Amino acid sequence: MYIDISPRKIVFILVLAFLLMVSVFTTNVEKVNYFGTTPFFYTITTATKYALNSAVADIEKTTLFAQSFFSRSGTSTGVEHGIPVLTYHRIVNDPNDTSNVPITTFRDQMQTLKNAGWQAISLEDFEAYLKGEKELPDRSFLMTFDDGAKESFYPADPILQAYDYHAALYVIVASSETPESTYYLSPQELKWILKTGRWSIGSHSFDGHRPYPADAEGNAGVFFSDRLWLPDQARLETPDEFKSRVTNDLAHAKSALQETYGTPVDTFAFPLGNETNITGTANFPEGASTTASVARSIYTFGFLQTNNQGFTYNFPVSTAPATDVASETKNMLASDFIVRRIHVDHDWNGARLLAILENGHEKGLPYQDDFSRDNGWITAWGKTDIGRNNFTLNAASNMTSVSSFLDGSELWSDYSLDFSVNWNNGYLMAMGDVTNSKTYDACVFSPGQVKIQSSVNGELQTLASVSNPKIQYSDNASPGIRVHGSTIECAWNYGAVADSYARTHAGGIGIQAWDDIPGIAQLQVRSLIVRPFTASSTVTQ
Amino acid sequence: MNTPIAVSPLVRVGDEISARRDDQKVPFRPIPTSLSPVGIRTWLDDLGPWLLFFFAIYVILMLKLITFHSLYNHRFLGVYSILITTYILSRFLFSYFKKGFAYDESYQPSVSFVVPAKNEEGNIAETIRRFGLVDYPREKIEVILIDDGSTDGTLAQMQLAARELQGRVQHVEVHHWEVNRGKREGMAEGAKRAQNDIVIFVDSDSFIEPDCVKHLTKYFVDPMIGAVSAHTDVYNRDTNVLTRMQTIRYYISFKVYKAAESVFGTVTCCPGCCSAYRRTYLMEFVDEWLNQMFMGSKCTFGDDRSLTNYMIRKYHAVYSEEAKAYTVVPDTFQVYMRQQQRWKKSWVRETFIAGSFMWQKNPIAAFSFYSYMFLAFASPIVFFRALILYPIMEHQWPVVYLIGLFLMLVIHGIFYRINTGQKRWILATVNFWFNSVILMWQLPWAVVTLKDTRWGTR
Repeated sequence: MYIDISPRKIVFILVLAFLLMVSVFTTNVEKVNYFGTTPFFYTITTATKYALNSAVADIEKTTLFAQSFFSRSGTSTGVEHGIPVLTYHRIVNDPNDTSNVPITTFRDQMQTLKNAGWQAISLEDFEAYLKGEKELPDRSFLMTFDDGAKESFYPADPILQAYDYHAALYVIVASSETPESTYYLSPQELKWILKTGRWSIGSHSFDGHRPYPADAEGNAGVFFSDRLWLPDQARLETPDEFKSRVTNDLAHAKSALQETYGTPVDTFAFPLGNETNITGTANFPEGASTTASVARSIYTFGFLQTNNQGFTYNFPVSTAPATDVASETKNMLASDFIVRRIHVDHDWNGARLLAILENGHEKGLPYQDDFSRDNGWITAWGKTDIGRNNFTLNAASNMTSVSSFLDGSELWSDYSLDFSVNWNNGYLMAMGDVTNSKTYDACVFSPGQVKIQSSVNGELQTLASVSNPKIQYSDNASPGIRVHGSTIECAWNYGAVADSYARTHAGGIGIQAWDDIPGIAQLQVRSLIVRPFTASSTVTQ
Repeated sequence: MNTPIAVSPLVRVGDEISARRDDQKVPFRPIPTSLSPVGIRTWLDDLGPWLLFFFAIYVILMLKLITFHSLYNHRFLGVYSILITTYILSRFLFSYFKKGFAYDESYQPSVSFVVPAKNEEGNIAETIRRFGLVDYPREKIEVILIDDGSTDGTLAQMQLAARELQGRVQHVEVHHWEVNRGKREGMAEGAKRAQNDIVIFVDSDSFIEPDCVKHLTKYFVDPMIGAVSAHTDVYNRDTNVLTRMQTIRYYISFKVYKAAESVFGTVTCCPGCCSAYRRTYLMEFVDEWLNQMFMGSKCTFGDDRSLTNYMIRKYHAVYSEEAKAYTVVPDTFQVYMRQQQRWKKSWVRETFIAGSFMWQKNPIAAFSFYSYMFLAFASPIVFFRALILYPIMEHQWPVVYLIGLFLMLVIHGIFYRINTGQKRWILATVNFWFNSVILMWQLPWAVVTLKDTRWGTR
């Protein structure tokens, strides 16, 4: 052996070996601390990209801060203007992904909103606002990401950092605990994500987001709306079993999240089912509403994935009792549990998203619409098209009616609506006091007749019915509705044709067409004007 | 005149040094700058590269840890992965513990240079001229030159240089063979004719530094030592990226791999470029070596590896990093590939021969040897699996494998950078990596063509 084992060399090598071992060991421990069982290579690439983007975001934030000295923000403060909530899932690199927003689009959206003075608030602020405990600046919005995917946080957070924005993640508890997942954020990641102060979490069920067998053939059912198949007993579960299963899942999700993350979890985002068009086997019509009532008993707020045929903004509950139709409307619009969201489409650029948020903002009166652009007409059902100074409404082929209402009009109370329309079949409805697609007052015109109808959550009541030969199909009809105090009036060519004094609430405007034969109801609206109500707006005839 | 003419190590390739042919002098060949950093350097000067070196090792260890799970499930890959990492890192570790020998003026055995040459008119004169410049008592130096049937001006150059050596050494003799007999015959003939204690074989395209001899001979004070390999660097390293790449390979294979083997006295190849043998030991097996047969035919290449193999059966072979020599390496890819193919063949032959007795040596040396044998044959399989099978079956790029391979070469590159101060190691490392990928396939090919004993063109 021609070996030189001097103590110096031995000590040197031992120290080196020790340092290397400590480094390797520490790296591994730290990785598990921060990323859980996420595969190492995925962790390295994601963390590196995230760190670089965060560094860029810091620079961006500094320049934005500098810019803010030179620009004045025009936001006002108040409590009653409503707040929109956005639904995202993942932020992706693939521009062909039709259910997730591409990163470039997302960046454009956030930049446009920021420049327009919009501010993304925290879930905690949003909850306090809805409870009437906190006032927030006008043009505040809440951003939510369903499923708790890695691709929700990592691409989005640097942008949030730069703009001082907040967001909420809706976590599926069981999915977050998937070992070695490259899709879902691990509990370890969620812990430090919460520590950034930019993110909050809510419940997206314990394990109710995946398909479950709902019959003997194993056809996929929706956890929260279908009765599931019990294979060992070869039968469907009973409604009671459905209810206790849903209750267990929702309660378990809430307690597990609170325990793991040490933060209150009061909100729940409905996964699948309910208002979305995912129906599963649809073997239990009461399923969705059962889930909603169970959720209401466990959580403070339940988030729908869309606006569900309602207005886009969410309003706080009022502690004061209703004294007039306007305050009654506010109570009807207030979120005592359900929160509506705007599901952001993969192809909405910043301008489009901004327009949608702005359209939901309370519109001033008088309001005129020439349909050169979409000012926020929400189509509850049927097909509509806006452009070239025409608003076309068509019933879907299997449906008898088409209905649309104007976003941002829900807080109006005393006004007259008149519009110019091409009406040649079926019934024409001029709607006022709209608080959602099924709650409204309407003047229902048919040849030779007008009825005043009131609908509350789909329960229709006829308040008046008047025959009038002047009411006929026409290429240039001018129907109208006036609502003020407790009065509902109908107008034809600006002349009063019917009235009722049974008005109970206020709300926005809408238009509906109806025909006995499915698929043919049609209207073409050319222009529309809404004026604050004055007695002179109706010509006495 | 005992004092040798100093050859400035700072004369660079391309510097104009007149070749005074008219006056019947041997033309000068400049020596490249030494591959040692100039000036006094401490480890602090290289702190950055050292940190990088250990960082690369850290990343390699991390990779092993991360992939442990998947390797655990695949026994062959697992063993391969653990073994190759251990093997390579242990080479650095052992080389660090290599024992140095101090030069003692009271021990100066006499030496005989033996240079067999064939068609080497361009380099032979310089090779010989350098024997006259060595820092060693001239009466203890003998030079035996064998022209093995050259068809060019090799003999004339040899005679010219030999004449110049007169008086600078004790004795010079030139032998001329009309018909080529092969390098092995030349080496054996020289060794038999040599009178002195130590025989130093020098290739006809290799050049020694003045203090090479004393750093070779000092090891023979230990009676167990039968052979000493000098440290050989690449002479034409700046020609192109291929020669630069070979410079790293040479440097590392001596400084790390031979040094590691040297710790156990089992250097498996004292290369023909410049290696010293104790003549009395050499004589014990020179005829057996000369007539070595393998698979029914006479061995015509890998003479150095074969000779070392005979030596380490009974005695020890070590490596002297202070004894410096330079050799000219192929500068075209084709010639390089042919040379590598030849080396691979002799490697296969001699490795199996060495395998028959290595188990009797130091257990660590034996384990290292057999590990390397396994790794060399396993690497093409692993490579094939990673780069061909894996992408086809799993539709994924073998990123981890390629990064691992690259990092292994990077630590070699950084080690070279630290020890030599050469700045162009990155490109060479990349080239090294590229070549490893190509050269890996030579081994299976060498096994297939083992019986083909032609040299191929040089």
